[in-house]
Amino acid sequence: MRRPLLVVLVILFACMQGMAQDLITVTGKVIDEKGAAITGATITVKGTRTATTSRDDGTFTISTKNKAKLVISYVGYDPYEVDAKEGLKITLIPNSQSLSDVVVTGVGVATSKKLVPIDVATVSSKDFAPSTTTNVQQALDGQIAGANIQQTSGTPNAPFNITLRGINSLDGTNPLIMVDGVEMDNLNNIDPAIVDHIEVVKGAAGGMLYGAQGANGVIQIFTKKGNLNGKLIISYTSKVSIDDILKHNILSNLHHYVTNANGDILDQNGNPVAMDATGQWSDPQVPDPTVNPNLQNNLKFNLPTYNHLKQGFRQAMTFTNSVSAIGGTNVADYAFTASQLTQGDVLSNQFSRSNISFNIGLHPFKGFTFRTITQGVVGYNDLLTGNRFDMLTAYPFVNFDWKDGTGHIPLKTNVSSNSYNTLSEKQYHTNNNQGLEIFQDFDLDYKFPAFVELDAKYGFDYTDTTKSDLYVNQSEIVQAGQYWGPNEDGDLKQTFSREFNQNGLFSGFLRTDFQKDFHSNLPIRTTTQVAYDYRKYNYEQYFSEGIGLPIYPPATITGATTKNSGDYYSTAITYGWLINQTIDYANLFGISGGVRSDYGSAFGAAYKAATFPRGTVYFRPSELMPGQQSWLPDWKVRAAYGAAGIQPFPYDRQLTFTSAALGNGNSISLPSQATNDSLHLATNYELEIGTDATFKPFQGEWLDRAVFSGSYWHRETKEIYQNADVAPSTGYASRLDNLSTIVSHGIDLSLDATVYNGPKVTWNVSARWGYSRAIVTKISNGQDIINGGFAVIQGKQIGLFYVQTPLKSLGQLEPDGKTPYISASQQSQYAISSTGYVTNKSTNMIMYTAANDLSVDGHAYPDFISSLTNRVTLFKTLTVSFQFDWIHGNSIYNTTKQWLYTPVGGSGGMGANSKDFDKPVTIAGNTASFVNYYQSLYNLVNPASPFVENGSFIRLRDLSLIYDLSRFVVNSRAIKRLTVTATGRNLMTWTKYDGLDPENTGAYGSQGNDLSHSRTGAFSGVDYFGTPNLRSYQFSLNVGF
Amino acid sequence: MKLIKYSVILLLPALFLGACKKAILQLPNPNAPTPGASLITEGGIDAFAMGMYEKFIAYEAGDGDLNFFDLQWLIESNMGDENFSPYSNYGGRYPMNVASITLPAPYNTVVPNPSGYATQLDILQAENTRTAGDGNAIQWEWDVFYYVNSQANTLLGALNNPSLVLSGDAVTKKKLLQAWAYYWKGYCYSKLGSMYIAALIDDSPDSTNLGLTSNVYLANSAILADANANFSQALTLFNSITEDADYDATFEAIIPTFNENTQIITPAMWGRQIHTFEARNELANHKVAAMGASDWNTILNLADSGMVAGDYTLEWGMTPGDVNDLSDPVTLTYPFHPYELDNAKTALTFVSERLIQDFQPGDARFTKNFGLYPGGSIVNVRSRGIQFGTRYIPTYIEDGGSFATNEQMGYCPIAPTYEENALMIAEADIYLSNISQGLSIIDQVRAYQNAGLPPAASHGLTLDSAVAQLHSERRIGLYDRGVAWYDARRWGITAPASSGGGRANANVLVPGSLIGGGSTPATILPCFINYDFVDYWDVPQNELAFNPAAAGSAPTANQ
Repeated sequence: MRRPLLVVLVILFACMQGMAQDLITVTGKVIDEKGAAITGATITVKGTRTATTSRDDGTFTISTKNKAKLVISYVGYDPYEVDAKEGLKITLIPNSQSLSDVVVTGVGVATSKKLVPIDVATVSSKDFAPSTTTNVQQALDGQIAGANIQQTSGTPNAPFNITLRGINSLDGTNPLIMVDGVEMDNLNNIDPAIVDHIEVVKGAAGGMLYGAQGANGVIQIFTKKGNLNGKLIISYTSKVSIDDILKHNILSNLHHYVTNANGDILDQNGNPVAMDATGQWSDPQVPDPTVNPNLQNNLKFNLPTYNHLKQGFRQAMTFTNSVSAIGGTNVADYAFTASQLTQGDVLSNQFSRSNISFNIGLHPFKGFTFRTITQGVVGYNDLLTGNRFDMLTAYPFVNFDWKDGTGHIPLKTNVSSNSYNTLSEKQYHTNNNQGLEIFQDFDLDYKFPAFVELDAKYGFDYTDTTKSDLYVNQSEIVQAGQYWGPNEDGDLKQTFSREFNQNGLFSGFLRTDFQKDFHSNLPIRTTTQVAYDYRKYNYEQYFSEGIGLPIYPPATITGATTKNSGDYYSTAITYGWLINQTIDYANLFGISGGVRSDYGSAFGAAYKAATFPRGTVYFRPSELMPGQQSWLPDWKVRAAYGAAGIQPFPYDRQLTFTSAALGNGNSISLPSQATNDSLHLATNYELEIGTDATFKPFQGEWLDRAVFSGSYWHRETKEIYQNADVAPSTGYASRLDNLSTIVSHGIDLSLDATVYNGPKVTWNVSARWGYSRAIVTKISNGQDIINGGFAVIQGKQIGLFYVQTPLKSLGQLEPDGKTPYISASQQSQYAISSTGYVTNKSTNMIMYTAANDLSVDGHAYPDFISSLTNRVTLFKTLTVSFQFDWIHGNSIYNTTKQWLYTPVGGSGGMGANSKDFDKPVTIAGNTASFVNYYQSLYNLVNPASPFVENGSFIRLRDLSLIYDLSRFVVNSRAIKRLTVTATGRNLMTWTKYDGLDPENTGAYGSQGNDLSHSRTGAFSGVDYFGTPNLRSYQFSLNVGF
Repeated sequence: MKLIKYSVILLLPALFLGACKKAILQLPNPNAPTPGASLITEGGIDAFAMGMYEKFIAYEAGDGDLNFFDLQWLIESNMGDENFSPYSNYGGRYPMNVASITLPAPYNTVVPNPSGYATQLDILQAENTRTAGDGNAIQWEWDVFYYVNSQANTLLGALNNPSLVLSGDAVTKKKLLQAWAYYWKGYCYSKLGSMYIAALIDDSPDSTNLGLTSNVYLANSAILADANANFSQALTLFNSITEDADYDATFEAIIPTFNENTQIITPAMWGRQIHTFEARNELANHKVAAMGASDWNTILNLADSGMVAGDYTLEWGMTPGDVNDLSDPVTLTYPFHPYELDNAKTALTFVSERLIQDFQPGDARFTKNFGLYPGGSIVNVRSRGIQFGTRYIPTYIEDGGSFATNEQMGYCPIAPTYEENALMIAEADIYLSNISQGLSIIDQVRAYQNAGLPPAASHGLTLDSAVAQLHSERRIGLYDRGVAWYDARRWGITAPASSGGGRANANVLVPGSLIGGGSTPATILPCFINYDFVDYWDVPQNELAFNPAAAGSAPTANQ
């Protein structure tokens, strides 16, 4: 792997007078940026087949006509064009762009992007949105065509949903994460400051190199490295960010409680509602809607009301400081980075992370490199998850900030509900999570003088986590019998977990160049890659718990009256062989083919290999189009086919019982989810066809360069495993089995263009667009998979919302196709409301189709995902950039809203407080905000079409002003560079979605149960009382020394 | 330098040579026992027998582990109108969807059910879909008893494995374990046959192998017959052994310590309990109005050889902090024990006003066990129906009560008790015209529970008055013991009002807005409740979807 940052291509040549006057002999030398000779660079006489390659010392000799052009090219470097004139002498300026034009991921060896036969997206740290603060995912958001990288919550360190290319399984879409060639577990923990660039391979066509773990694609991060003989560069960045959740009013301003003549809301005893000394309000009465069908939500509160979103979510601050030093000596290069992130949470407390990283390369003798990359991450947080359900459903007259006589915020807000004021939790609950992660990567590489390169990598990812969860003894608090946590007398639980993942990779490369090595005329280069890959995943966890703590501090498990503890262990191993052969013909075309075979402890009964084939081809018509090269300097068409796997969990294939302690004894029982001893890998087969082209439409300042890349892909994932429901009479709820097939296809397009490049102004545009669609062609025994509002139906798109629908015509028929829902004689009692629903004229209630009469209404996955980034630099000092993300065609199931439709009244707390209740509806000529109408839509929180909403949105993801102040420090000896940046993230959103944030969705059932790990569908798209994303304003300072 | 160079190069491949043997892939799950190794030892087979309780808990997609047994207990109690749960968690409130409540004069208002579903059957059928997920209330009882049944089947199969070696009095131990399995099968089929319109018989010996299930649905009477057949198998085994030290040791090993495992149920007690259970099956599944002398004599015959005062039964308790019990709120979503749901913290269930009104004046069990709800009454919770209201809460066990706890105390009987047996004899006596004999048995039960009530037997009550005493005593004396629903059904209370069902003068805490306006306090009024509940539930769709009824099956749904 070649990793220079700069290229200096110097050609020294002399002209010799030939025998014939129009033939000259040019000699020269090709060197890299450190002055080292480049062996094997191709020197072609443009428009001809005359070519040669540079010798071991970088020199070359070629005969050509006078006034011809020479093209010098080498993998990893931009080709350079020069006139072959007599007596010419040139020193070339290095091209800083060239490095991102080399990719490794998915092809195994460093390959010029021009010769890469697959779709590999590259994101350079220079292209990161300036508002990227906390993690790498923020940087990738909107940068990769077709990839859906979604931050679904504003909670610090919340995981992202990453779907690189369509839906591939029923289990999850998370790709393989690699850092400098070695697997790493936690993308969240990587410091964005150490990233040089990121390569993303979206599917199996490239992911096949990673075998049993490659089917969901690969994100590979390359960390910053120093340069041999490089100058020491020190830089310092400091950022501060002010964060607020995205919010707008979703709650009603009016009410429909029983009131007296003064407008006072009355409780069950006929008295005005009031709060007692402990902070509990009496519950208001509601006129019984069954006997008051015309009840309207039209009364004003005559007592103070509070905005609970505002009270619950505070403004938070995020601070980031980062220092790095990069440089090198004549035998070593080094890069060092240290960062500190402190991120306040809008709900409570904070998250902090300290990262330190060393990347050191030693080059003791020619051809040999030893590299060690170490990352240490120390994380800490004391975040509480809180409960937004209770926040949104509390009576509006409850003041969340009210404190009782002891100075405490009370738990219960009203008499009979079991809902608590979220803000009271932190008085009694502390949660301290500390994590240490050490990621170490050793890399030995030796390039033999000819043909052979050997490379060995060994990496480990060690994570040690300590969680301490303390609920103090609450037996003496004001509201007797109420408490946070599992026990009134307190509970302290300490959990220790350790993860130790190892990855060893040994690769051998055999390279030949027919011209150079065999003195053939054929411009053929071959690379044979043989690799062995070994992975071992180790996890262990222990917890100990003390229940019943003393009323006085400190709380210890030793001092607890009841003690509890437990443990869990998991180990998995996979290993596999890879052989891959690549043949390139000059820069014109190339083919490759390979096979990978993997063994794993978790599949194939631990002895049967999973084998994956691969083949690629590319062709560059631009090589044959000398006349057109001025506007189309580079054009490639490519096709790739590959297969890769998705692994089950470590012990999924083993038949075991459930063991539990019961009292002082043990029990053994049948598990309710049956495992399966014949479980094998799910395998994804992908065909990808694409083209990459560089256009130079105009010479001059306007539109002088545009790079286009487009791919069509088609995938089929077979033998997807799932927890398939089975008949309970078998003794099991479900059985894990390889049952389903998903076929998907899509198009990814990207365009990067320099719109204007003048002396004072540059304007660059990047656009990304991806379309995808996935169809489930086969599922478990043909039985629909039903999970909350989601359904997976054979022959249909994945991620469907499968719902009951209000009747829309008076004569609508039942599923039998002949019986009307409303008999002919009854139809006069119904009318079509202004919302288009059949409504009973006397009760004002709508009528849904039957529970067995469901229809598809929208799907969770977008039709396309796109982004547009503009970057304008004025006078080389001020840069303005903005990024829009546009997600289109998806629906969101707004369970939050459905819960806010829940009937209110009597005891048990708040409901019927969606802002929709304030809106009038017309039923049989009467227009009013009928409570019964809205409550009848509630449908017992069963999936229903009124809550399926358009989830499309356009979001101004990033708006930044970067001002380069370097000219003011030009006289400083210490400071070389100084920039200040002002940034806004998520400043504006255009959407028809009615909830707080169209990105704040997940996989939830109607009661908020997280379905994402149930292996019945990798669903997202349900809004259930989450923490919305943040609107942030940032200021940062970057100093180079 | 060269030495370093070549040794490095040679070492590279060697790094990996040790890591490519298939043997390293054999990584047995270190967290869980395997069928092969665990069931051939005595400790393993005892643990598997105790696993009958662990099967109360099962995995529900999205929810994680739930105690299904507790859910069915809650729901039956709700339908029996002794407790109520107004919340839709796990569909708990839907089976308590009463058709209407009529206020007394002068109001005479008919309050229909606010759910929009006219009857309980309508709402249960609307929720009996796989889409409804955990809102389908009728799935828990079906699921849990088939899960336990499979555990029992597998236990029976494992006991026949010649590799299994039992120490000491191996014959007694093996018979006890076999009888334990048959008893639980009898328990499961009793519950299924008493609740569903049709069910399946699955006696396949090894449930570790999936797919062995029947698709012929049998009418509930056939399921009950099979329950009794399994009880007979257990009875034969119990009759062939006597209690000895090995019996006691095995008994204590298969009952969790928090379930009173030192109260040894002897073979004779098992025999009496089985007879009581058979009598319950008979009683619970016959409408009183349709029972003649021969039916009552059948009950009497069984109950006469049933449980006596002092007989132990199966209990369900808790451990301090719910550690390693069946109610652990850390691993389960809620604390799952009937007594933990009723406290003011969890507040998932509440005591019904209709239970409170069934206390006879002066009953010491009322003052001991119930008090006013802290902070005021519970009224028409979230407008889900005015039946969901109460002024009372059970007094915590730690404060001297019996039916609720905030500190994991108390034992709930989950199998028949002496009182139930006695009251079956009393009911049979009353209907067989031995009224005072029946009433004297009621008095015995009241004395047994320290009710402190004057004797009923000496008053020369009429049949109706005696029946009223019996109803009152079954409601109070057998509160939270899993029979309230059976009683409501067989007494005709849950039948539609149009067929003579319903409960007149039923206490309901009526919101003020229904009786004169908002300034009127919520008031207890004697109302008429038209429950209109279906007698036997449909088969849950989560079974039928994967195991469609074969030709010749009994109907699986109410029409």
